[in-house]
Amino acid sequence: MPRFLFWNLNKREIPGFVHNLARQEDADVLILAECRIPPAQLLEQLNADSSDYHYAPGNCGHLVFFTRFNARFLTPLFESHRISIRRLQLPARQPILVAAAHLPSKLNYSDADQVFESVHLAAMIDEVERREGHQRTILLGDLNMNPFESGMVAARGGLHAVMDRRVAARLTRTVQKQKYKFFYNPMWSHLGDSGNSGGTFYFENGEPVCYFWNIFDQVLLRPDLLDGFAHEHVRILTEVHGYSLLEDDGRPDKTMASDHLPVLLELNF
Amino acid sequence: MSNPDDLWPENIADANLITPVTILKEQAALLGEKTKQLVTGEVVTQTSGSLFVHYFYIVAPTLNYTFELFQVSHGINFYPLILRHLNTTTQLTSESEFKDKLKEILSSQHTLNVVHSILAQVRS
Repeated sequence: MPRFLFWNLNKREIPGFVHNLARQEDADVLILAECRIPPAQLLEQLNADSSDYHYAPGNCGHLVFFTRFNARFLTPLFESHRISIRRLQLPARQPILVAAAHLPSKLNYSDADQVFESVHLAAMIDEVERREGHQRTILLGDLNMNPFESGMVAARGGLHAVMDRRVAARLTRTVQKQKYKFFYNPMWSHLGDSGNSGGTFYFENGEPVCYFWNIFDQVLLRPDLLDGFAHEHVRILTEVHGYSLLEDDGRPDKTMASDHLPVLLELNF
Repeated sequence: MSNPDDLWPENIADANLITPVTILKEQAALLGEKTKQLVTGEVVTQTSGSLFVHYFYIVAPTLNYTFELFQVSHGINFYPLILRHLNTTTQLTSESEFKDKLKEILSSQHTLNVVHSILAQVRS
């Protein structure tokens, strides 16, 4: 079953961690955001033991892709500064779309700005789906929004990502007499104390509303792919080869690794 | 029961020949394994009339750089095969001759220089 790993490295030069994580999780497709490590250096590290990772070239300034598949199987179809949408065509399997994004940070963008970014991302995915003639799409990335925020859940331009796969399985919802496609967002289940961490990103401030834990790093799936997905197929990773990615207080250890935790998706298609 | 209207022989689908492109692709894959995929080989095939033409490239994926090392062309019977390398054209009449020539090219100083230069460029 193909395995997709996404990690925002927070510009940290930690090729050893990336190598160990990719190997530990048998990642077939590795997508990195805020990666300052030159691709060649990271490729050499990833292949330190055996040369099975390939660099999958693209023109997205914020994301880099590596894969254990032939890099030609992962073809860019749409790319911008923060978005990469690729066709993954494996032998004897139906093609799927792998959309990845690193959307702007809350430090620089208002809630309204982020909604507009979501609308743009959803429109690009929709356009590529129309061109490709199917909706077997996954979206991975640091969306810099929580699953419950408007840009994630709203129809009429938003990602329209819902927490319940039975709702998503209805495929569309009609709002103001227009139909809107669903995404299923399994990350809702990972909010709070259900796992080893309360989310993928911790932020604490003195403002009245503070969630402490956030799930900015998310995996979304179109309903057409849900037959090959089970709840346990998405995991927030907190350990690499025996080293915890968390500090003693449970927060991401950003001095040793990244301030974001990696997310793994397994998907049968 | 054989169909009397079927004029094809029984063994029409029994193909176990090794094509030149298979040999080239094996060598292309081996280069990637030896360089941790920093420099890879790539074979691109085109057809021209009744000819198959295979281009063997040295590729640096992280630089989006491609260098044509040689090209091979052959007809439907594979051999004799024409190999063009460094402005020299050689006719090869069998698989063993083809493999010997490939070994000569891949281990030549010219190929070493190309791969080493690209590797250095990739790492810089």
